[in-house]
Amino acid sequence: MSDRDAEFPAFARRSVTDRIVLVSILVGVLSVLLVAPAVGESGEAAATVGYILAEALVLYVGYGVLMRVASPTAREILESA
Amino acid sequence: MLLGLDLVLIGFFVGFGLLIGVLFGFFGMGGSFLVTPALLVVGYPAPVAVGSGLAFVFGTSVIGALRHRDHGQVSYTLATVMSLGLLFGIEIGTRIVFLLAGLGSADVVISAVYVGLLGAVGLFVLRDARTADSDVETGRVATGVLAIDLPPMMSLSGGGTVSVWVIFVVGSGIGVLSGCLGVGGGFLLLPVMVYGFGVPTAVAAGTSILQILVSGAFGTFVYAQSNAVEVPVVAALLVGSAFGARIGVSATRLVNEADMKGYFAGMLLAGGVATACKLVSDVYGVEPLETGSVVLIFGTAVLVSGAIVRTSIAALRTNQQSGSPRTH
Repeated sequence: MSDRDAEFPAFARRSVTDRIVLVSILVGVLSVLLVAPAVGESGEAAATVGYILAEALVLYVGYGVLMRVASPTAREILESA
Repeated sequence: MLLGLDLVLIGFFVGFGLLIGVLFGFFGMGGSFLVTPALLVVGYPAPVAVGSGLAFVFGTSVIGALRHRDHGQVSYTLATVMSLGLLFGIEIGTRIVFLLAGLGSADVVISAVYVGLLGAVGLFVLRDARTADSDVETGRVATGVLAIDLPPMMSLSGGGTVSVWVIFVVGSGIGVLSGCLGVGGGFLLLPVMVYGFGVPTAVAAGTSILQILVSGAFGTFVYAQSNAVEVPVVAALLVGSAFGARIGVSATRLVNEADMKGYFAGMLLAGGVATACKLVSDVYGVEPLETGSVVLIFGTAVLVSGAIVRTSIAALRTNQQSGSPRTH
């Protein structure tokens, strides 16, 4: 059995937890964004915080996927150029 | 137009964010305290530059915290007390900025403080790049701080015991700076925890990113209440910086940070000179100085991040030719 196999259950558990945390944060942020305009100045300020939090989460996940897909190709191009 | 911002400007801020991200990812600092001066140089009023700087800090710290979450080395008690101090300090800092804005001198004062800060940090990094270490001096500082016996006391990860009041006061001081200048304060939090409180570096790094996240969120909230956060600018900067940070982090495996520290110091000093040029240009109406300040602050960011990327590509090709990975 390789190290990777041994680490797999822990990795899978962590990735499920991560997903739950990310989804919870996203749901929280979206709720704030929806409710905020009705609460006035502080609500709008909270919406700004929520917007930036949501963007940061989307960028983190999005670029993570992009890097995983594009990294080997980019590396190949850079090395062969 | 997108989100009320010209497309050219959005492209410009995404590009600048990319450069900032490369620098932040590579050096682990310098992301925040170039954004506010850049916004000042471009012509945003001081409260908006500071508020947007803090919002950018908040966004980058969320991404940084997600990336560091696996390490799990955070001192939550220290983070809580320090964060309380930071929040208190940010509230004071924000009030100072709006008070100065009311008096019509916010741009001048904040720009002047930035000139001093960038100059001081730039010189410190330059000295750090040239000298080996200063362990004896920093050890003396830690001993002095740990000797303050003002209850209640708090036990820290490094084995030391520090007065809660000392942590709160230090946090408040950094918070005032953060609230006034729109910086995360990581460049102060980390050395304070390591050299002042004797906390191990790994724990200090994890704890400081949590504190910056909390203080960044609070600072964004406080400035957003006064409509002093330019959301489209922050959004564009984050798009660029999140990608650039990944490039910067990858570059650390190929390029020795010590080789680049001199460039980084030069860039910080150039940022200080650019802010000073903009200040003089505003006060005395010297138009060429304003153009010079824009060229200087953005030009040096392009040069330094370009040098990191170019050196990384060269190292990658050398690895390919030699057949064995060379990492740092």
